Amino acid sequence: MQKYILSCCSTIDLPRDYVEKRDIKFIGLSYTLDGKEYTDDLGKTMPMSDFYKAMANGAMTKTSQVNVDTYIEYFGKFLEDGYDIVHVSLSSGLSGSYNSAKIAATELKERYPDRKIYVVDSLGASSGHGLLVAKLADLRDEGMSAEEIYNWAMENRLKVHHWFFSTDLTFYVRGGRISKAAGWFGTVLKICPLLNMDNNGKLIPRFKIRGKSNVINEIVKKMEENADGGLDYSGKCFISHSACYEDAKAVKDLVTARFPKIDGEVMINDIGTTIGSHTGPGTVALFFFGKERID
Amino acid sequence: MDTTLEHEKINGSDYRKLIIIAAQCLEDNKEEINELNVFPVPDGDTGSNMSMTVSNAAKELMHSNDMPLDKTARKAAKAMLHGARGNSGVILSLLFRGISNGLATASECDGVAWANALSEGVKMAYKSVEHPAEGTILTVAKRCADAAMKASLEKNSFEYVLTAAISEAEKALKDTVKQNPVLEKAGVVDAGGKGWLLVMQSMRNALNGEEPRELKISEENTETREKADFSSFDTEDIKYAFCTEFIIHKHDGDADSSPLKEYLGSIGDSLVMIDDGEIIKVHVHTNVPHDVLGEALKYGVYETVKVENMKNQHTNKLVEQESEEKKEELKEYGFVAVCSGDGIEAMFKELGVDSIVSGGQTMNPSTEDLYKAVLSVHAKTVFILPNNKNIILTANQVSELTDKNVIVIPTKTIPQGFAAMLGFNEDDDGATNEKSMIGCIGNVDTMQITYAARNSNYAGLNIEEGDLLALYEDKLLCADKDIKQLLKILADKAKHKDKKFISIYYGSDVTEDMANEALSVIKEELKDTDAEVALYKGNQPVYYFIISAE
Repeated sequence: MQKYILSCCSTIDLPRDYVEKRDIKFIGLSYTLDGKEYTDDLGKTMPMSDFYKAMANGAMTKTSQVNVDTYIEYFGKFLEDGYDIVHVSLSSGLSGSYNSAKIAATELKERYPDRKIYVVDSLGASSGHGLLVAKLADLRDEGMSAEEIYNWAMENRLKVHHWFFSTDLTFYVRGGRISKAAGWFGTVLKICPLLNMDNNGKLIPRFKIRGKSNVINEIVKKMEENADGGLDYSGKCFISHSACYEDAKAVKDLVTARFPKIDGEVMINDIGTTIGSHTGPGTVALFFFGKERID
Repeated sequence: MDTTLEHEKINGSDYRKLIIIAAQCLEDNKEEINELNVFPVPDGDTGSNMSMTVSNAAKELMHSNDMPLDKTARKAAKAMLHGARGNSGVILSLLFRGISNGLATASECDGVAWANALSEGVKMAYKSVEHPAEGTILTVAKRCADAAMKASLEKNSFEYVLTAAISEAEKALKDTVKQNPVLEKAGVVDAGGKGWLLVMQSMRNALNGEEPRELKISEENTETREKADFSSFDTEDIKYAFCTEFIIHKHDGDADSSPLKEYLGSIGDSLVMIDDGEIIKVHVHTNVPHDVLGEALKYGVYETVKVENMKNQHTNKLVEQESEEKKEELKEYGFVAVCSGDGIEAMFKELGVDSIVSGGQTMNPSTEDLYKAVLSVHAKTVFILPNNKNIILTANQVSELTDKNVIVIPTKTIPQGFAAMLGFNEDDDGATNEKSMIGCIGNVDTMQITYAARNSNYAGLNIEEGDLLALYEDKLLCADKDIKQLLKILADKAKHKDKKFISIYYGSDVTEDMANEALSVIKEELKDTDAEVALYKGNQPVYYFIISAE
């Protein structure tokens, strides 16, 4: 069978050692923190705790998508070595990286007519993007071809559920993710909005919930309602957070207690720099497989 | 009116006097009705609310000349609709609205017509009240109307029928004591029912020669004529030069003015037209003002006319003001909330409420107050949060007065209002939002601590004036002199219902130290749970503490 590389953007929010162990390649998006530019390398250069500390202290952050040239260079060396590529990009609803990857793939097709690049728009983010890629790594290990895992990804990407809540909305408002007018910004009333990712891969605020305990319960309830098999869910489940491990742990404890059949340990990951630039500190996200997202 | 003969029929002039005397009577006796309130919690006084409602009609009629009966009845009903306050006030206004419908084509009212009108009133009131209860103004009015119907078959005379209605109303009022256990315990009759009896009796007094005197109304003056909403104009350049405004007094109130509206739409823009059944008020930008005035003349007589050339650089202030208002575009959704206390107000504003109507437990706003607030919100759909069970019915009347889509979310408490706002999502349509907002009301429990406004033996509790009262939802839970005791009981209740977020909104009569003490009492009670407790300065009157658990 034709050998291939499983690749993704650095926005999968999985631990670096896990990614290496699973033989998943990634391309780093870049971000600017207080005027200095960095390439996202899953926390190697800058530990996420430092990043969020800087944000909390008022540092300005900016993220930028991967440009076409960088993709051409990144894909090029795998093609040169005779590999096909399945690349799973960050949601096109959040970033232009998917478009850059598509353009790069088209250009490279002329240079390497025998090679194939499959680009998947994950329509996901953070460890939800990661959950899809981890599943593809499983399928690859089970012997699926590049084309087969591409097809599987296209058919199942909308089955990855992303639920987020935040206890600090400052950065959502700054980034225009939540409008101040619509009452989402109820800081005084301790409103924690519960968001999810829609079928276009965009973050949508869905519910306003008062108090952290209530929103933690609610996010797990969303999993009960949406996960494959409900309480008998037997797939993987990931959690990610931005500098609020205790809250993430509280979600994990509830999930572990309520879903005894989950595949493996519920991993708690850091939300990386790209997504973290938009959420700021205080966000917890829960990811699992369920019925297809329809809105 | 000749007082020696029996009055077999009345006309518009008589009806006008009947209403004015009824208003006078309610005003004179409102304290007596207020005293009938047995619920110890301070609240909006039934007598005052009913008096203000009918007074609004009396004022209108005093300022106008004698009119035919049907117009008089319609005018009175409309003024009451605008001025209605509190549940009893709204029900009273509905009774008169039904009466007005019953008299719609009549120039005189005899016994049969009056009996029929009273029945129409009862029908209208029952239709609008969601859960009609026995032993209230509704039952008194119903028995009254039934007796009138029977009497009208015996003798077709207004006075005879009215007299029969009054004697049945007296009996029905006495029976309210037995129909409602709370009234029975206190040994009093229903306040609203008493108000209706007074209205009927005063009408007979008017027949028998009582004369109207200068009516003094203690409460604020409410303006009933609507103001044109000039806010919904386009921001386009001036295509039509003449800003044309006029008011027409209609020849025939029932005449359909929609052809005029259609015509005006065809010859200009920025059209605002209001037809309230008596007057038509028009604002339109056009190049043919002379044609417009000619066309409108078909409907009545001009009260005022104003035509201005907007292309003229010397535009006056009014036009400037108008163009400033023009910039604001109508948004999809807006919100009106009833509350008091600047802290509570600020929180509603933070949640996205556009307009606050000051009011609540002891001060029930009128339909007119809510209507004005709805008009001030530049939105296509306006949600009203009454936040008090005595204001919901008033809010329900607002949609009758405006073309805007008005949705009343029946919130009975401030925390229910907050919870409803959490259920709103701007991306959803009105009906979905209504459903979701109502659904969210169910997530929150409301507890309130207030004082007893009067001595009372209520729900098995022996309550002295000034005692502290704890309410759980609508129900009086307990009374005590020690506030800590009440707070503990409420906290325990929240704990047993597994609530995770407790908010304490403290009132204007509570010091910060007292508030912090309350916070620690509740925190102590909930220390073994993962519930969060938050303290807010609500600054509300009447309630020392409003506590919500969700």
